Amino acid sequence: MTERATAEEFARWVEPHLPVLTRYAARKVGAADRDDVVQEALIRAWQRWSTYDARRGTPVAWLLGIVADRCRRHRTRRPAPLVELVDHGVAPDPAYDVDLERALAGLTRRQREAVDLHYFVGLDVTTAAEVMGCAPGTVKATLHHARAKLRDLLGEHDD
Amino acid sequence: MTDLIDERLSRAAQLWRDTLPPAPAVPLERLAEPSPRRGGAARVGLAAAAAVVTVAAGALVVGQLGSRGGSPATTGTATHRVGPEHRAAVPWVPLPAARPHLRTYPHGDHTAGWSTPYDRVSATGAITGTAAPGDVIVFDAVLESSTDLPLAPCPDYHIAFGRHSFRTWQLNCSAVPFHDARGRPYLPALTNVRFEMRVTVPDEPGRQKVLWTLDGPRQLPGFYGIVDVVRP
Repeated sequence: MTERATAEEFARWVEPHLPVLTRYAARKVGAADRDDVVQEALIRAWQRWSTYDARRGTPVAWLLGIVADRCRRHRTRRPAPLVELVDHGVAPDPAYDVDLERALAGLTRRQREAVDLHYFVGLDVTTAAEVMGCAPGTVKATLHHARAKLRDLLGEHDD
Repeated sequence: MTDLIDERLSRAAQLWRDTLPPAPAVPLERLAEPSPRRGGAARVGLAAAAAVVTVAAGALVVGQLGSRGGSPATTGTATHRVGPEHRAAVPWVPLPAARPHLRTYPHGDHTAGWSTPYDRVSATGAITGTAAPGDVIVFDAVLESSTDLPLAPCPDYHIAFGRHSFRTWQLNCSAVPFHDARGRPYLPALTNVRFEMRVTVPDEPGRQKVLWTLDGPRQLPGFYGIVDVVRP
């Protein structure tokens, strides 16, 4: 097997998880920078691939941990933008829920993480718990509290 | 009981996911940089052998663009030069983007317009040819400044290939053969300085635009060409 084949083996291993990794990075650093972060994370994952132990967690949780680390580094090394950039070529959808996005900013960091992982990244509660390093029940409770807070912030109550 | 917030979150998340561009491809060409430990020393030896094969394949197909040689069958990938070859080009190194802070404000006034050291740099290059997904294409980006210009901080650049591949790296400033009195690499006034560029062809068949831009200046100096991507 050549080195090239080994890299392709890694690519095949990681490719099913790319959409999830990309969505997570987009939530963390924005759509404009997500590809850079994902690329850096994949290189890091490749360097550390030998340390992955399937008994200790799923590939997607392991990969998301690396993406999270790269997102943190990305945010700390990049100065705050002086001009807010917008994605080009994508017109705002009229159905875009601006109020909800604003309300999400009012959640605690942990609640926001749970909401991002479960709703926006699309992970089930068990995998989200693995990424957050807690029990699935804790994620369920965090989501419950997050929804309650959003309900208050948005003035939306179930009848 | 219906949880309206749950529904609203699900709807917003679905809409957000739908508007996201496709996920980037795995940067295979950059995975070859480090020596992975998986598999031990035997694979390190194989890595060196594979690198030699790749370089040899590149040498074989240089100048064959448009007629597409058969070298990919040998290695599974090929290196294509998609522009004229110049011996003096600064070699390409896959340096991670450094995102240097380039903007300066006259008199510290942030309400006035900003500028960067690279606002008067022009970038030109030629990109044309045919390649297969997974191949590495090689071309030169030629930078020219109207004044002597230290490459400090060293800028980043972008290469967009087709609709879905977008990469950012840092220029290989340390290998520029010109140095100012302070020992910093620089672009001498009105002198073409060539930088070799490499990018992996994404799996996006058809006529694809390849766009090179220097990151930082408002005008984003750059150039583009067309590469026909054909699956073998």
